[in-house]
Formats: sequence, C-alpha cells, structure tokens
Amino acid sequence: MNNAAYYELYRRSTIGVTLADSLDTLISDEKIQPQLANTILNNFDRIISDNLKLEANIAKSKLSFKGVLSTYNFCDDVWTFIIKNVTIKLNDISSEGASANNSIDSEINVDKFKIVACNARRAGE
Amino acid sequence: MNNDWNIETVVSSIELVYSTNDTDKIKQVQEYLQSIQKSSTGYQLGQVLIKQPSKYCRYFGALTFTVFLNTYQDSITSDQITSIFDELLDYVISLSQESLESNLFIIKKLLSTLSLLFIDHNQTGIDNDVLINPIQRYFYKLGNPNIIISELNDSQLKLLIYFHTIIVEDIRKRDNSKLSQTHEIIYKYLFPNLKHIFGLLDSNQHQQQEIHELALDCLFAWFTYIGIAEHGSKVSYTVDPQILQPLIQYTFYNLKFDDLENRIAIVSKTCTVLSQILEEHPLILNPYKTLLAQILFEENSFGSKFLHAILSNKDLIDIYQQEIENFTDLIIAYLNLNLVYIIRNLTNPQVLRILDIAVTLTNFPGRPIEDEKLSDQFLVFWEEFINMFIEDTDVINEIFKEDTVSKQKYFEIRNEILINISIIYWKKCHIFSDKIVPEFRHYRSKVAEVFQLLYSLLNTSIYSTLCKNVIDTLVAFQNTPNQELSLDIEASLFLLFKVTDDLTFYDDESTQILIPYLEEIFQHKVIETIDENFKNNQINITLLNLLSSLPFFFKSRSGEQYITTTFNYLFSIIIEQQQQPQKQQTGVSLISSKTILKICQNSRSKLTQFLPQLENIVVEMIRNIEFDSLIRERLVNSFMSIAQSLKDPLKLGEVVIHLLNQINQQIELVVHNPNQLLTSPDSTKEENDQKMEDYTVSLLGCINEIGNATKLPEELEDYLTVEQKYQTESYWNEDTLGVKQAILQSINQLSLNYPPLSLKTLPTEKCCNIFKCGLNEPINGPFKFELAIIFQYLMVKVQNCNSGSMSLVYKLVESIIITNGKHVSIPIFESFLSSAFLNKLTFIEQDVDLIKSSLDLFSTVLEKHPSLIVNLPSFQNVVLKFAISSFKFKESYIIRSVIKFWNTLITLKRGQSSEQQLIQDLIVKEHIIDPSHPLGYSLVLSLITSFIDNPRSNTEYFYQLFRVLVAKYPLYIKNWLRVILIHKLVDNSTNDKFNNAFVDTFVSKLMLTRGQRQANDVLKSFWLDCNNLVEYKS
Repeated sequence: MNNAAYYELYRRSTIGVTLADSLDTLISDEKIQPQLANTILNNFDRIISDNLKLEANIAKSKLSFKGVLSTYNFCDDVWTFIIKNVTIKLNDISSEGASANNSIDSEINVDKFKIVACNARRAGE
Repeated sequence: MNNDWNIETVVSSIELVYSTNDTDKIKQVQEYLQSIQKSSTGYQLGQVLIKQPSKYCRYFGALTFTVFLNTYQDSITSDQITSIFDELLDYVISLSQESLESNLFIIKKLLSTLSLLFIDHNQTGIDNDVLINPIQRYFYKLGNPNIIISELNDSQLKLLIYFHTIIVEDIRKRDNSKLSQTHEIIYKYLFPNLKHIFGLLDSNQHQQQEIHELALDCLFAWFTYIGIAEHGSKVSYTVDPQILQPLIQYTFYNLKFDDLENRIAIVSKTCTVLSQILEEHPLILNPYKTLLAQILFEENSFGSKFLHAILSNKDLIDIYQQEIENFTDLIIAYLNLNLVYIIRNLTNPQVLRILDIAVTLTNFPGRPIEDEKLSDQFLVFWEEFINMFIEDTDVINEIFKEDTVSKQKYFEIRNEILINISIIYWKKCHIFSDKIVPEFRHYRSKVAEVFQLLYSLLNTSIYSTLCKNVIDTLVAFQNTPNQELSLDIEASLFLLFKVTDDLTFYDDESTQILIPYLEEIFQHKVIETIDENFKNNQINITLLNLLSSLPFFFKSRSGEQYITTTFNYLFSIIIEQQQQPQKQQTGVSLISSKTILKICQNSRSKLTQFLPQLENIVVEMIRNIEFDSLIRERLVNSFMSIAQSLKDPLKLGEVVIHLLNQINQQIELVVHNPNQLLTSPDSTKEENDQKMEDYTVSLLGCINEIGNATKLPEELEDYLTVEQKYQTESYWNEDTLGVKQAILQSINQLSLNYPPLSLKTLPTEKCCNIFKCGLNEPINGPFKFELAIIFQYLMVKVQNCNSGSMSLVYKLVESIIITNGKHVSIPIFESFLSSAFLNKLTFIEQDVDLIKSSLDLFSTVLEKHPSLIVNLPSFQNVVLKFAISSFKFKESYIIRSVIKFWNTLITLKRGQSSEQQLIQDLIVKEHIIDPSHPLGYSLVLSLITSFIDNPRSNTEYFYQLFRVLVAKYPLYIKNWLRVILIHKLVDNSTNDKFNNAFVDTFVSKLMLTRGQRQANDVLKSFWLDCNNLVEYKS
C-alpha cells in the first residue's frame, strides 16, 4: 500500500521510538542516509498497521473497559475520548493456554484513560 | 569497492554460494560479491554473468544490474538509461526465447530492473519514448512496433502479463507522494495495453490455463495498484465503470463451474480478485451487482453448484481447502457490502436464499480450526449481522409501522436465523481434545462474543435457552452419563459464563434478571453432578469460571442457599489438589481460590455463618507449608473479609489476634525449628531453603491480606453508624489484645532479625505493604500505626537491606507524605533523610533504580509538603548537587524523574512565600555547585548538555523544564544559555554551522515563546540541528 495512507501513530509506541533512536544512531555513525531512515519508518507504519488489523489474526488479546466518559470529540476523522475512573479488563488469549489460572481475566483500575481512535480505512477511501 | 575481478573466480564464488551449507563461507563470499557488484565495473560484470551457461550466474548477473543502477543512479545520463533499458530488454527476450519457464526467475529479476528504470526515470526523461512507454519498446524489440496483442505467441503474451504485473507491484513499494507523474504515464500508456490483453483473454482466444492464472495475478496487482494511483495522483480508474469494464468482464468470465477440476486454480484466483474489488472498490461493481448475485446464489448457478459439489464429496473438501476459503471470503465480502439491504429485506426469498448459503457455509462439516476455517471466517460477519439488527431497530420499526403481521413474520424469520446460528456455534465450540490449542481457545472466545451480542439483542431468551440446555443435559447425564453429554454441558456452561461475566462487568443491576435461570441450574445439582463425575477436567475449570462470575447470585435470597454446596465444592478442589504431588497439581485450585475470594468479597455479610469452618481451614493453611502461597493468602483475605463484615471491633480483634498468633507461632518455628515444618524427605537442601523462604514470605503476605481485608470502605458514614464508629475507634485506641504489637513482632522478626530474609526484597515489599494498609484509614484500626513507629522501622531497615528494598522504603515514605504528610514532623523527616539518603549516598549513586526512587521521593515531598525539606541544610548541600549530577544519565526513567524534580522545585506550588523566595535565591544567587556561578547557571548547563546528548525519544521530557525556566527566569536564562552555548558549541566545535548567530537565533526564538507550547518546536529543531538529524515525516 502507499505510504501516505498509513498513520504515524505507532511511532510513539515503545517499539516505534526505539526504532527512531536506532535510526538516529545509524545516521550519526554515517551508516545510513536520512532518506533511508525515513523509508524504514514509512515501512514501519505500514507493517505495524497491517499486522494489527483484525484480518492479520496476530493480535488476539482483548481489552474491555468501563468508566465515566468525561469528554469526547470527533475532529478530522479522529475520535478522542477521555474516560475517568476506569476499570480495564485484560484478556490475554496467547497465554491462556499456558495456565488455567489465566482463564479468569485480570482487571486493573486507572484514574484516567485516553483513547485516540482513527479510522482503520485509509484516508480518502 | 573492488574493481578487480576475474570471471572464473566470480563464477566459482556464485556456484559456491548456492552449493555450500557453511554459513561463514557464504558470508565471506557474499561480502566479496557485493563489493564487486557495487564497483564501477559492476555493470560489465552483469553483462558477462548474464551470458554464462549457469542459471545461478545469470540470475546473479540480473541482480548485479539492479545493484549497479541503485548505486550509481545519480551519475547515469538519460542516454545511458535508454541504452541500458534496451540492452536489458534484449536479454529478457533472448532468455524467454531460449525457455521462458526455466529462465523465469532470471527474467522476473530483469523485468523488475526494467521497472526500476521506468519508475525512476520516466519523469526525468519525459521526451524519451523508451521510458514513458516500455511496453511499446517491447513490441518494437519484437520486430514490429505496431504489433497487435492477438498476434503475440503464448510466451510473448506471458512475458507481457508478467511485465504489467511487476511494474505495478514494484510501484507499491515506493513513496507514493513522488509518483504522481508515473501514475499518469501508466494510465496513458500502459493501461490501454492492459485493457487489450484482457479483451483478448475474455474473447477466449487463448485457452492455455497458465495464461489465465497469470492474468488473474496481474488483475490482483492492478486492483491493488488502482487505489494507490488514485490516492497519489489525479488519475481515476473508478470514476466510470466503463474504464475497467474489460478487466471486470474478464473476471466474471472465469467464474464458471464447467470443468471445475481442471480450472479450480482459476476459480480460486477469480474469487480472490472479486473479493478484493468488493472490499476496496465496491462502487465499480455496481453495474454487475445483479450478475454477481446470480452467479453466487441462484439455483444452478456457479455458487450453488460449487457448494453442492464440495459438500457432497468429502475428498474435495480436503483437496480444495484453500479454494473453498477463497470462495467463502468472496461470499462474506458480498454479504458485508449488502448487509443493510439484507437486514431490511429479511422476508425476501432471494435474501433468505443468500442467508441460507451463508448458514450452510458457517455449518461446514469438521472441527473448527483443526478441520475447517469457514465458521471462523464467518464469525466477524455474524457479529456485524447481529449488531446491525441492534443499530437498525428504529428503521425496522418504521418500515413496518402498523403492519403487525408482517412485523411479526419479520421477527420470526430473524429469530429463526439467529437461533440457527447460535446452535451451529454452540456445537462448534464443543471441546474435542483434552489439550485445547490457543487458536481454538481464541475461536471459543470469539464465539462467546457472538453470544454476548445475541444477549444484547434477544435478552434473556438466549440465556434461558442455554440454561435449559444445561438442565436437560444434566438430567440426561444423571440418568445415563456419557462423554457427549458432558461436552454439551461444558459448552453451555462456557457460554453462560462468558455472557454472565460480560454482563456483570458492565452493569451489575441487569444481572438480577438472570437469578431465576441460574437457580434452576443449581436446583438440578450442576455442582454435585460435575463434582462427582469429573476431576481435573476442563468442565471443572468452566464451572469454576462460571461460579466466579456469580457473586450477585450468591448475594441474592435465591442464591444464598447454594453457598454451602458451592464452598464444599471449591474447598474440596483446593484440598484434593494439595494432596497431589506437586508436579500433578494444576491451576484448578488457583481458580478455585480466586472464586472463593470473589464470592467472599462480594457477599461477605451473607457468609458470617461460615466463619468457624473457614477459620479451621485458614489456620490449617497457615500451619501447612505445602499449600500454595497465593491460595493461602487468598483464603486469609476471604476469611477476614467475612469477619470484617461483622462490624464488631471486639470480634474482629479476636479473629485477627487468633490468626496473628498462629502466624507468629509458625514464624517461631521457621526461625528456631524449621525442620519440623519440612515434610518431604526427598527434597534437596536448596529446594527446602526455597520452600522455606516462600512459606515465610507468604506468612508476611497473610498479614498483609488481613490488612487488605479489614480496610474500611471509603464511604464510612454509609458503612458504620456513629456508635459503631466510636466503638471501633476506642477499641483500636486501646488495642487490649495487642494486635498492633503482634504485627510489629512478625515484621521485626522476619524483616529485621532473620538473616535469610533480611537482605531480600520480597519480604520488605510485604512489610511495606502491611504498613500501607492503614495509611488511608479514616479511623483507628488494626493496621493504623503511628508514623513515628513506621519511620523507626524504616530507619532500622535501611541499615540492613539491599537496593531493591531501599526503593520500596522510599515508595512507602512517598505514600506517607501523600496520605499523612501534614502529620510528619521536620525533625523526623530530617532524621530519615540522614539515615536513608545521606548516609547511603555512595551506595545510592551506584544504582540507577535508587537514583530514580530517591528523586521521586524528593519530588513528592516538594510537591506535597515542601516545608519538610527545602530549609534543611542537607537539601541545599547534598540533594541539589545529587539532582544536578543525575542529568548525566540517559535512561529515560531517570531523565523523567530528574526533570520532574526540578520542575517541582522551581514551581513549588505548595510552598509558602518565604520558601519560594528561598528557591529563587538559590537559583539566581547561591553558588552551590560551581563557585563562580549561581545554581541556575549550573542547572541550565546540565540541562542543555543532557538535552543535546539524549536520544530523540527522551527529548520531549526536557521541554517542560525549559519552558518553566523561560517563563520564570527569562532574563537569567537568556544570558546563561547564550554563554553556555557559545562556549559549548561555538568555541569547542569544529562545525562551522555552530556560530554565534546560530546560538543567538536559537536563544531569541526560545525567549520569544515565553515558555508557551511553541517552545517545544524550537527546542526540537535545535536538538535536530545539534545532532545533525532530520525530522522523520512521510
């Protein structure tokens, strides 16, 4: 798919910032050109987005949550929700088979929870 | 790079790469080959290699052309490009004439190199016919530039299709923002040829199956490319369905049942292409909608014949698994696109026929995941299908308005379909093996989600059906036990658990309606039947999970009568498991203990009658080293939760002291006579030591659980009457039974005086957690200790502990400052600071975690109660130096902590005016770090140095501190920054870019922001300049 069609959201994930740091080091050491680093990050945007899609069937863990919706808005095709007093239920399917104990989901409580949701479909589609 | 090569050496090296398994040798040879590929004579090397008899050498030659062109792309002229293109095309034609099939992998590589030339140079050589119309050049090379496609032989046609495919596939890998002109050239010159090809194929002049398969691969590549081209340029393939008409018509032409056995690959690829069009360009299929529906769903059409053929022949199912899945994808793509129409026209016979096919495919024979994937493929569709009913309720009501008969018929049909689906998936989620693979577990979860949605739509009817199924099957099983019935019960209980769990998570109130249905299951002895007939089986786990989701039921009048049976079952599992050898124990007892905990915490007031029996069990668990620590601690919490619900401090005190005495007796045994506890004669000393350590930590964990379970709820007024509150307060003020003393005795004994544990982290964690239990209590209680006692313990503890424990000590003090800071006196805090920080400074400075923990503690004190610290001499003399020196680290967690410390100190929100003045004086006047500069200068020096040196991922943490400094001390910052940067960047750097003007520009830009958000961009840009890096943007 074309690069411009993928969000850069995942660059802020741990794996994304670590990749950017590594690319910086490679540029500083004159091992690669900045253009190549940019291309690698564009590829990263595409690959991580494709792999997290439902159809890829890789990300199987599920997260449910409940709480008090404090604010929300929808701007430029991006939903933003801020939820307070949130209970999050995590269901890690991948490890469920390893221990019967995990078949009961684990819950965590947080004071504030921010969700930024973008359309999985490409812009303009 | 290596310009010297000898063809014999190169040929033997290439042959070696493909023949040896020696990875070191391969690596060495590859390095040599890569160096000559990249040399200035790389192109000549490619020319020699492509003419070698060896196919490996030829392929390597094709590869060498690509490497050369990529390496020297900037220095090759337009004329050279044209001649290279021609030469490579000659090689392609020559190789294909020799043998297209056997040379295919070499030809594909060469075509890819040609496509590289086309993509890279069509824009620079716009007047160059060769590069804007490579296909025309191909025709020219075949001897006739005006050749028509129908005159091409099979080999030439295949080559043409390959070329069209490879060009658009390669474009997908490029940066689309720079391809606008390329897309226009492709639309103008290549696409007409493509239409001719498919027009020709559609007219059926070419029978060779291989060509049709290649053509369908080409179509797939093109339909992917079309979206990219439309997004990256002004060309539009989809604005008018006529534009793509030959391509679509050809696709439909292939969707026929005749001669299926020989044409199955073509049919499968056609399904894939059509699915892709439906998903990505649905509008272009509008004119063909009816035709597609006819082909897929009508009697005697391709779809029904295909379905009938595969369902009537089990061998075909095994052979054509992938093809059936592709067909199913096409059906699902069609259904998704027409979902709204389907939902609103359920009574239409054509729609029913379509849904009938969907249901048939969902109910495909075989075990899900293992034998068939179709039911899994359909899960997402059925979820959408049910969701659409929920979302479309208003529209459906509007459609029928007053027509109650039609409405009733509509809902009857809807419910019939949904029940069919639920029965299919109920059967599909039956366990078919003792070992459940993760994929099947995931599948069951997705099935459960469908049932959760069904509950949203149908409410209790689906729940009651499942309950009824459990009851009927239980009765049948009680009469004639068999495996099949037990699997039925398991599947229903699993779905009931998932639906109930989902409901209880989101809405506690709505679960009340479920109580009568659940009661019926309990009446039919679900627990007794499973307990008697199954041990250590999945059905036990499922039942346990269901029980864990039913606290609302046990709290109810109907449910409380089943608590005894439930508890007997749950405890029997724990005790039976404990009697098994360790290796045979499973997680069932852990689930059981968690279920007990959940029930006790949620229904504590209904369970007081069980206190005596529970006490016996809990005491036995405390005494018995063999029990799992987590189970022991959970049961202590369960027991104490019930005791706390008595709201009687006298009784609570008695219960607590009884348990504490038991725990202390065991501690005495651990310390003085451990062999009396160890029962396993076969264990090694290491195993025994580990077991003893786990047990001892668990004893502290039990005290912690007593503390957790006896915490008072936040809304104290709603929980205790004024009188009860008074009684509680006065009872614990006196503490006649010495509960607090007993707790302290255990803590001191194990954490301070018992050498095997005193230098370990886990016991300290448990002790700190014990102290934390009482910190937030609004009135006195068993775990509410005087702060002086806690600090006393901590000051002794830090004299004899490891670094992990030190961090926990700091965390506990942070909690004290947050919850009870106003009760902490300056002398006591100073005393703690001296023991736990000043005296340990050398130790702390060697451990990054401790540096972080101590900075976090100081930040919390500065944020919540700054008066505790800012006036202390040690703060100014030691802590500030420590905080400045911490800028030297690059670990993000330390950077975050050190920035937070300085931010908090500079803003000092809760500081009095005298304290704020003190900080201001420290920053601008006092020469604490550097004798010739004030603290602020030293801070800015460390800050800017650390900022420049830190990686990109840490830069954002620095912004806020820069902004606070600019906003609060603008004049000082301006001067300090200028002096520091001129010294650092201009005087000590060889890079001409860093001159006075550069520094002045940055400082001016930063000051202009006045500490507002724009400062972030200025700082980011400065960081990029200093590190000679760029902003990554697509």
